[in-house]
Amino acid sequence: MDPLAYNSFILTLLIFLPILGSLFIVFLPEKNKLPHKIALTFSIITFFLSLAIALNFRPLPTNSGEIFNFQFIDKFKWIPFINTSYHVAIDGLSITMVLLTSLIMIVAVLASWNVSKMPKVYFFLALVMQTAVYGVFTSLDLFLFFIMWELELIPMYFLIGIWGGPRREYAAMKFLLYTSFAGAFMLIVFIAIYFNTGTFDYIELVQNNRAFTNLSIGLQLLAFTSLFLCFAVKLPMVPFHTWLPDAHVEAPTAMSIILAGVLLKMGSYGMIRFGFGLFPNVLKTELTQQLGSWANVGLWLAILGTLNILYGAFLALAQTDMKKVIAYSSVSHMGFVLLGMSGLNPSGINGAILQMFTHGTITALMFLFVGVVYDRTHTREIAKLGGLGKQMPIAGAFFVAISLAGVAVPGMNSFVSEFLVFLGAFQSHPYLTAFAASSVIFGAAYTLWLNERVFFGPMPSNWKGLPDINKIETFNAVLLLTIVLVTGLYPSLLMDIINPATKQIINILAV
Amino acid sequence: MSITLYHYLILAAILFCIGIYGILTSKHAVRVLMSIEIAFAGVSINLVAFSNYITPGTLAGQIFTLFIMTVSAAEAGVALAIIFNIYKNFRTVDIDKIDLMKR
Amino acid sequence: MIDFAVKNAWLVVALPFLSALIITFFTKTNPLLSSRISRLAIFIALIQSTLIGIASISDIQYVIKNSAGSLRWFTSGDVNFYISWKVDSTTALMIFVVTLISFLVQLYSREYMGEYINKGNSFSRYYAELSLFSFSMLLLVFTDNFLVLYAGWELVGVSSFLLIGYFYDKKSAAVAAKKAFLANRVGDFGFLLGILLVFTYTGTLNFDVAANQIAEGKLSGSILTISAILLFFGAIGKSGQFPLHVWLPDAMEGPTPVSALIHAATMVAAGVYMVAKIMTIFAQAEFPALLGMNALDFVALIGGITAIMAAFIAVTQNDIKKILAYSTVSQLGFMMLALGMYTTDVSHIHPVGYTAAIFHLFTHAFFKAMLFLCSGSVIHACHTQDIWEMGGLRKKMPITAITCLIGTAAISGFPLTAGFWSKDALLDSMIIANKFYFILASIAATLTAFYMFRLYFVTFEGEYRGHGHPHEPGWRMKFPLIFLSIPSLLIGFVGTPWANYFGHFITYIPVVSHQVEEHHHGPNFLVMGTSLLIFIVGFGLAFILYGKGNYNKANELSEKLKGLYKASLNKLYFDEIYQYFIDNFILVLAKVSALFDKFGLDLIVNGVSQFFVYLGNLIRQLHNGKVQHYLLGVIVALLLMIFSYTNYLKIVEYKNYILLGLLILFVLFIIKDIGEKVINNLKNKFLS
Repeated sequence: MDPLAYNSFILTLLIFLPILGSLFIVFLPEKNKLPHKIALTFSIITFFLSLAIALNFRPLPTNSGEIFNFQFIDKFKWIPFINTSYHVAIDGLSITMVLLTSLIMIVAVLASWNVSKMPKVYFFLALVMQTAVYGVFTSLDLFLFFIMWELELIPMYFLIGIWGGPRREYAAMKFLLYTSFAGAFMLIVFIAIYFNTGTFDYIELVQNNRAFTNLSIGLQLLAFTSLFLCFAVKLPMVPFHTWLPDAHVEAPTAMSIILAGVLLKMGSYGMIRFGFGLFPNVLKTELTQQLGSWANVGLWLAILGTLNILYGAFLALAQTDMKKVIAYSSVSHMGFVLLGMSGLNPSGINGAILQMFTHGTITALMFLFVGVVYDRTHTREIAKLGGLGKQMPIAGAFFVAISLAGVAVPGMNSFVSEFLVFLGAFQSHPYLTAFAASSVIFGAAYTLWLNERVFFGPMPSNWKGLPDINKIETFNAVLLLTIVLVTGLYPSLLMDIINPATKQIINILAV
Repeated sequence: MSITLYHYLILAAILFCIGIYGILTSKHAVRVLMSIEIAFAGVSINLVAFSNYITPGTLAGQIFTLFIMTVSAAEAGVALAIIFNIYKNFRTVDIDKIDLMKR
Repeated sequence: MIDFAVKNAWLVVALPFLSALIITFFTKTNPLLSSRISRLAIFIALIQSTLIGIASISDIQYVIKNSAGSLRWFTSGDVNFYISWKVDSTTALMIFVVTLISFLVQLYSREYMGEYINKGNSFSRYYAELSLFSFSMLLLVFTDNFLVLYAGWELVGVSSFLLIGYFYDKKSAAVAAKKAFLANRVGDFGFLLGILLVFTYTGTLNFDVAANQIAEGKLSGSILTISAILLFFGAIGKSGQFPLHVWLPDAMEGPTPVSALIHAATMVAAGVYMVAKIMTIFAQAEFPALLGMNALDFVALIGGITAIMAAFIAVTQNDIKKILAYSTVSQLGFMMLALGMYTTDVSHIHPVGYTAAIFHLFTHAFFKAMLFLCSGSVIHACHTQDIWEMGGLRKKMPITAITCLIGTAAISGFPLTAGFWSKDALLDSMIIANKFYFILASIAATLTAFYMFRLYFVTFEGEYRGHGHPHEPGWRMKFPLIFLSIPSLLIGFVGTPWANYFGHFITYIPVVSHQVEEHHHGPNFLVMGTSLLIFIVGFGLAFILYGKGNYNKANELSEKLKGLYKASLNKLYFDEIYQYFIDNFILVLAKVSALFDKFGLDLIVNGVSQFFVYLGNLIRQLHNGKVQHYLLGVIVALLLMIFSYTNYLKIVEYKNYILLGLLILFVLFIIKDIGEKVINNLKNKFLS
């Protein structure tokens, strides 16, 4: 596998393997958990394939002035009529997200091992979604990106709407409408770009900063804001976050894992890749001299990030439903991504990208254990739970470890990412970052409070006889926790890929 | 006063309008059917009149009219059958009450 | 041998870490093996740190040069972040204290926690957590950069959280663990900001480099003072200083050996250690930025308040461990107070209490750990923590009683014991720098002597008031007690004013070397006399009130001073105030934001969707399923089309007729609809 070979089919193979798997599921019988097994097989294959790609990826040295480091490029004309092509490739940012997706997919498939309601359809949809997510993270063509972005919505809509909780239809519809409404903004911007330049190709657009050069800066700002809005809904950014708690609460465990673990990252990925990549002009501080002090995009990002972090944390403190606490903690943690980006410097963006990965692993674990608790006790009301650690010591031990990962203690990967976010953002926006850093208190407050109320304390007698976590759940937990620990103890494993990618983004911004 | 083309046309228009009015306002399905026939009559008169005054040598208008009459007879037969069936199903032929298309 | 120990100093940190990993992943099902692994690891670390200590005493420069090392942890931008370490004299001292007390406590725990050997994995868990703690604490003292310091700082907090919550099925333990972690986090919040400030201005996280950059003026004035004070916030949280001391007494919910190790000797001293380690930064922060205080003034203020406040609270507590906990808080306050003592010459700050504070940290670690282990021994025997249910234990547990007496004497400053010399040094620094604090500290020290002897008398003298038959523990618990009583008595002689070896070993080295007037000025007999007076007054009061097994006088006094007594007994209502603040501010804010989210934001979102649903329903009215309506639409549309294309169709002259037709249709329809309604109404009226 030569990563630099043009038209290397490896990446395409990775993207479409899940679809192939979904075809197997459709055409093979349903008995003996065959759909489950096929889905697992394909998720494992894709995991190893993406691992192989990651290992063969060659990051550029950080001191090179390149603005791209795309490898495993596959490109051919798709619809010549509108000058769009099938153009996929990976760089340090993409491969991190692809790895995360593959990893989370295994966990999600294993977490759905007990799905008995229409398993064929379930796994078919899940695998189609995987393809779409890979597509989002690897597309270098705006049109392809848009298609993949929308393609991801439909399976998730059905997965929440059919296999979800009591209010599943409401939640699924809210998720679908909110995201696709936001997607419309993206489409408008992409079409505007197309009519302005005649191409959808990311590389062509970024080279020489062509996307909007002949438009006024005000229009560029407008376009950036529209695009940002689309990604902000997915992130989710306060005040566009209200679909998230509903979707999480109603979604089945595995889908919560995917939603929090992977889908939210599509928003922040889009912001960094397309928001920063296509609109470097609007992020420059000279803009404030032209348009007035309100046009400081970095400052707005910091404000919104801080708002996200603190508002999410406070909301999490007030919840009574276990899953909602985690859902709002997601809002809070994704705020770190925004805050990191607002720094517009290497540490901040590094922190943001790493935070995307760490949040994916840690929140997936948290939802996994909410599922564990819910499967056994059939309630998520924190007031009714308590003392489960006595009955389920292994689950309790895992949950303590996960909580500690959630509050970013050293040794867990979240420590590094949060530290980098603070470090980067502090250099640009010290006061706001100081404000946001108070989340080290509030974040710890709600996480440990949840941990204490659910697993600590004396055990109510009605939980007697509950089984501890089974082998599949243990495997999932060990898998993710190992990743959390390994990347936490030796962050260079990821940082050596992310840091060059960040450098390229910085180079784009500096043009 | 001689009878010109315009007199025929006005008669046809009046008949057509009466027909349309009937179609739009009638409650009874058979009345709608009758109104359609009246509208047809208006159209037929138009065709015959034009044929007679504009191209006196040909009989195209008259032939059209004959076609219309046959087709409308057939149509009336089918329509009546449908109305009969509607009556069987709904116990009414009040078309205001038949709003299956709403669903 | 010594050479190896020095050159591979990182092994001291790595060994407990390995032990924690091995226990967690491999041997947790075998409790005895787990505990052996843990003890073996810490024992080897102890030997190595002893060797390092010997090397440091003989040639500290050799140790500094050869022990240092670093690993690249990660890179961000062009900045490399290292896990780096360096052993200087303070570190050499601290690793010795930490490994020694860790080892003794682990030995002690083997018996103290013996009943948990057969209860699942909890015994192994205990040793894994102790190993994790030793690792974190050693990491904290080993490193020479802020990031790893912060990491170790957080990790000791984590292991403290885990160990306080060891009995996690006990509500109070679970709550105390959470409280400890959160209070620490409040301090860490400031600490983090301080680190960020230092990094932003100096571009480095290394202590020495940062101090040098500050000396070059990269960071100065009020921002430097603010940074230093923010860094000190970390110490406030970790060392249980006012106003974040509330977690430390509650932390006594953990097993007693844990209290001895973490909440008396090592972790809580981390704040003092940190301030001492980066004293070069604090000493440069001389700009009075906060209410006219510079960084060291602030340190002294907090230390002073803590010392006197905690001593005051300790006087009336009834729980043996709570007394010791407040005593710890108070002693830590002394250390901080001493760290904040400085003299100024030619705009250079010289911290005169630097050596004294570390000296007190050193001696305090021994006797406070021993006192806690004594209390553990008592609790183990009596199955209660209330001192009023003990009494007369001297006859039943002589060794515990004697060691406890030694510890009490040492902490009260009985002449020639370890505590005497260190407290003497503390007071000495205060009389040089600030007389007010000297008086304050003297009062606090008097209270210390009083409450410690109160503890001793009530517990060990008089009649036994509890249940059962307490007896001495086995050798594993006795050995640490006896072992620790030796340094508690004698270790002070390393730092006497006549021959201050300690002061030569641990001494403040300013960044910019300037002519320091020598403060090693021999014994100050005024201070020594005060020390003696303090001990006599404190001891005497305790003896009068509690010494004879008759507590009437004490009760009378508490009746007389009811207000003070109540305030002290209720810990000055800190918990209540904080609880009030949390309930009425934080949680209310959280609930308000939850309501806002639900009825503000979400209402808007649902409102938008409802608006479109409403709009859809409005248009849906046109589609009522009636053929005639649709046909009307068709006709109207047709007419409109013809109307708009009149030019094109060359029938402009008929325009008006079409309009007329439209109008007629419209009127007809209205007549029909209204007529129908009127007819229906009439029908309903007259036919029903």
